[in-house]
Amino acid sequence: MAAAQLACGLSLGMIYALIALGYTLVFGVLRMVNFAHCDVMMVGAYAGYFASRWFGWGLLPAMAAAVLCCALLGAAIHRWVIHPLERAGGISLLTGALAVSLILEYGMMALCGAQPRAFEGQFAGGVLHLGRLALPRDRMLVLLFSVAMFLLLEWTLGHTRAGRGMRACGSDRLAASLCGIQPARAGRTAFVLGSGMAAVAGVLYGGMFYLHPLMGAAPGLKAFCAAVIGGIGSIPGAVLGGLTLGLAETFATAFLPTALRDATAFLLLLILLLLRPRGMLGREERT
Amino acid sequence: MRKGQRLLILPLLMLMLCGGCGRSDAVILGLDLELSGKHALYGTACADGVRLAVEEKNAAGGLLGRPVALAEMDNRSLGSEAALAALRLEGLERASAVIGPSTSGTAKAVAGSGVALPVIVPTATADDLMAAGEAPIFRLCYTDRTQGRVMGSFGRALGLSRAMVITESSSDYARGASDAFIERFGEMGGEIAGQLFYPSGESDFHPLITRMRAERFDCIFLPGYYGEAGLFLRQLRAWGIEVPVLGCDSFDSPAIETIGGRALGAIYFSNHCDPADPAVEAFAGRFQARFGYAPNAYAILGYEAARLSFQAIERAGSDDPAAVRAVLEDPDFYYEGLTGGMRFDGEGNAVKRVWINTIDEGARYALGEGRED
Repeated sequence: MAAAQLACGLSLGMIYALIALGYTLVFGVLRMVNFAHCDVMMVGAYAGYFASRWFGWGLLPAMAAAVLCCALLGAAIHRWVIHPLERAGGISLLTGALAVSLILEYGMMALCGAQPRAFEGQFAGGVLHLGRLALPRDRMLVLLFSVAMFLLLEWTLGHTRAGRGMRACGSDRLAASLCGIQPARAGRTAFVLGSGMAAVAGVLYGGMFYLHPLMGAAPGLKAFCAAVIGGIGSIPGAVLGGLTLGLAETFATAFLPTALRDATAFLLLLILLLLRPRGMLGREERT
Repeated sequence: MRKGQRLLILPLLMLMLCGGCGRSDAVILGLDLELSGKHALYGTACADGVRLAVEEKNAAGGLLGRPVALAEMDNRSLGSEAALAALRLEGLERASAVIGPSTSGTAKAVAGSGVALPVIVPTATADDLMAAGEAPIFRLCYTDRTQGRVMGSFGRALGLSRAMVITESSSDYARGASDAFIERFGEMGGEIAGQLFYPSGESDFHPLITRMRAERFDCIFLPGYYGEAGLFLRQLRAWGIEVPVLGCDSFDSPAIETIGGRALGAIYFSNHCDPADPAVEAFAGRFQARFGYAPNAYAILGYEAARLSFQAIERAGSDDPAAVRAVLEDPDFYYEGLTGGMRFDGEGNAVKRVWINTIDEGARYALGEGRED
């Protein structure tokens, strides 16, 4: 059973990691917690859902439509909310993101109603048996996409001009702008990229579970914690944090009284955070 | 806080007094329901049931020779909003009775709000609803405890002997029903393999199911809301666990199939009516034609709540809330509707029958009447 639970925990952790990547990317560049991230994810899930329902598209085309839709949404949010509020600083940015989050949630509710929706069977179903291990089939997809997203992000940040610009802005905004990098553009790139990743997470999450306008709230909060535990701003940290949270929750479900699951899982994480206040892979802030 | 509320209420009062002038001849029925927020699916279905009843009543000549008007309040699934809405319906809207709220948390807030007009609660099943305050509550549905006991008896009647109980940790509804089920199943000679909990909003049940697989059981009792219950069923069946799943009236939403998928397997749940009853089917047809979706028990009980209040107002011969309340408190008051005949006991709880429903290839029907004893 321990091995089966380990597989469950890792696959749950991968879901958190996938969402946490978006939080950490935007934080790394803009130094803000983007509370609208999980609702962009929700919009992505709906976009994918409608694409697959109206046009009969499979997973990949539906996901591409969702990514496009969310990238545009991200650009719009950055252009009209984040960018204008950037100079006002942390609290205003946070509030702006919260406002966007609520507008997206209740806007979607007004537009599509509160009833839950589910993808028609594409990703659901089945358990994969690998020797003694059994893993739900849809988790393999999550694993695949998480690794792909992680590699894509690492490559973008490390090997492209835009990526280097983003990293430069993340570590020192002023110095970056003195070197000819436009912080506004780097911020927009990060935001658009983060929103696109939210769409990927949204389609996968919506496919595994179900869609409703408030679907982002719970995984969003967990993924945010995962990003912080891993060291917010760090890409490998987000993955590590997600896996840790997934394992902690699964461990609590598997071996402890289930009524106390979240309490025990988060106690473990609190201890971890007390030992490493900046997160497992977080670096000291230099200002 | 109190002062702040009063300051807020004053302009509202003036607004409402002006707004109310236009329909002064109508009999006002208040609606205090979850039209948005966490339980919107329950509240909106219930509200549509009430709306249909009112439209039909008005088409048939109205009540006491006057039209019926609805004063609709959205409590956003929040207790504080539900209490404020009830106060406003009593004080400003001059409603004869309030219908709602549809879930226990918000209904308890209304019970404690201090209103004196009759509150007809269609679907809130908490055992301790009446203890939550002084408001005159009349409840159309049975309680969590009744449901749990009925399902315990039913499980034993099916010949099931070892039950695994899966409970949402933060839900009074699930805990109340689970306790009653465990008690009744045990009384009848059944064994409980274990009780596992999950938090509200849980979506990944694989760790829980993996833990369950180490146990031996021949049925599952799952008194969960449709979101979590649907996902649990889908993931459970994906593991190839085909034991019967027993549930409660929260299974009565098409969402359980939307989320759970087609292959729900054997599921049985306590419910408020027989969906295959001709009168219920006729109602379902009218409802579908009017609102474009199939009614569930929440819609039916909303419809019933409205019709019951019409009957009470007619019998009182007045739309004065105190007179309506007196009629409802009369032990001889009897109402016969889609969910069967019912009366209220001294506390305001309905005395009525419980149906056991099942879903088979998308068709819903009652297997029969459930018994608590």
